[in-house]
Amino acid sequence: MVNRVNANRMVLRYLISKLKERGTFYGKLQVMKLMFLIDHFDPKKRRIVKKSLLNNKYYIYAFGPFSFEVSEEYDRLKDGKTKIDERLREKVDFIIEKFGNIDQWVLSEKCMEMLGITVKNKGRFLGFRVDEIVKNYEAKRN
Amino acid sequence: MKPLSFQKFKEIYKEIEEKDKHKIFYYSLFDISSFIFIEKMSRLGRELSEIDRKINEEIPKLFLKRGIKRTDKLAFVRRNVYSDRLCRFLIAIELKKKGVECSISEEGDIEVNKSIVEIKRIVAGAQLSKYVEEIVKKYEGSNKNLVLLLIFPQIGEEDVERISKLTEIYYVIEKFLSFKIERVKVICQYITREELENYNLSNLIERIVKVIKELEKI
Repeated sequence: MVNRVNANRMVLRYLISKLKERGTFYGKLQVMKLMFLIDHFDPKKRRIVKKSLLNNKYYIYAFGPFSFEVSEEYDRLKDGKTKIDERLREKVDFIIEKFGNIDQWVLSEKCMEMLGITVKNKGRFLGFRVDEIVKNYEAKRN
Repeated sequence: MKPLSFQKFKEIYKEIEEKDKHKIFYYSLFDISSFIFIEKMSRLGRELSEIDRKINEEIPKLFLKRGIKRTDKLAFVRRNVYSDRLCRFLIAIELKKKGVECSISEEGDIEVNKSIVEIKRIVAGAQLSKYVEEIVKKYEGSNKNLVLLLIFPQIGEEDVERISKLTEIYYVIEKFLSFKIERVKVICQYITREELENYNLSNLIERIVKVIKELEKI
């Protein structure tokens, strides 16, 4: 069983190395948003879901979803093996393929849009957790 | 733990001593997600980490009951400080104390008659172009007066007068926005860690009141 810290480390290393390989690594803001999508984007439903794949919690701040767990792991990250579980690799590759070329600012906006957050209503959601927002959104859909 | 409501904030704020108000305001100016642009191990990164440590130590002491769990203290800061909720509430309540009738809209904006006070807390320049872009999107074509606050908190042992003067560079944004938004005024305000004349919440409030009066006359 892979715990959250190890899974984050594994995915982050793999993600960053892949982005660098493709020449589309833009920095921590981009990585944070891609991690958010790895955690919450469901490729089959093609939308954001409440359940987090790696069990990270994301808060809505000025520049979109932000996870303290991911941020801390990113800052601790040193070069190392980029081996990744098959199950996770597939999801990470999908996210890189779909969102890995997007500029980090545009990506931030895109993540907010997927959560139904616009520049006009953003103030209402600041400080809320993504799972709370998706829960309300899903309740309205049903 | 839910984010703080304005009503709840008002109740707690009554009990807070005058000497602690500036400290709360100063700490309310930090958005940890914007630290993402700063190298963690740089001098600035280390200073911001130290401020963050103090926020987590001091703010829960002032707002929460004793004996509350560490996770709840953390959640309080994450929901109310890093978001601009606490900062917004403080400015709104201090405006009310000056006789300015204001309210917090459903969207979280401070509204005063025909004016809206928009707050942007700045620790790094990289944030600014994004903020300006968002403001244009949000207010272009609006019939409201916009008062844009660009608030710069002191970090480390910065030279107060020098940095305060440098923040005035950002008045160029007012000129830029005036091409897109009909009635807009920018206030650049540097806020020091210790309460100093001209660099504190009272000074900012006086400036906001003055600007709102000017805009409402137009």
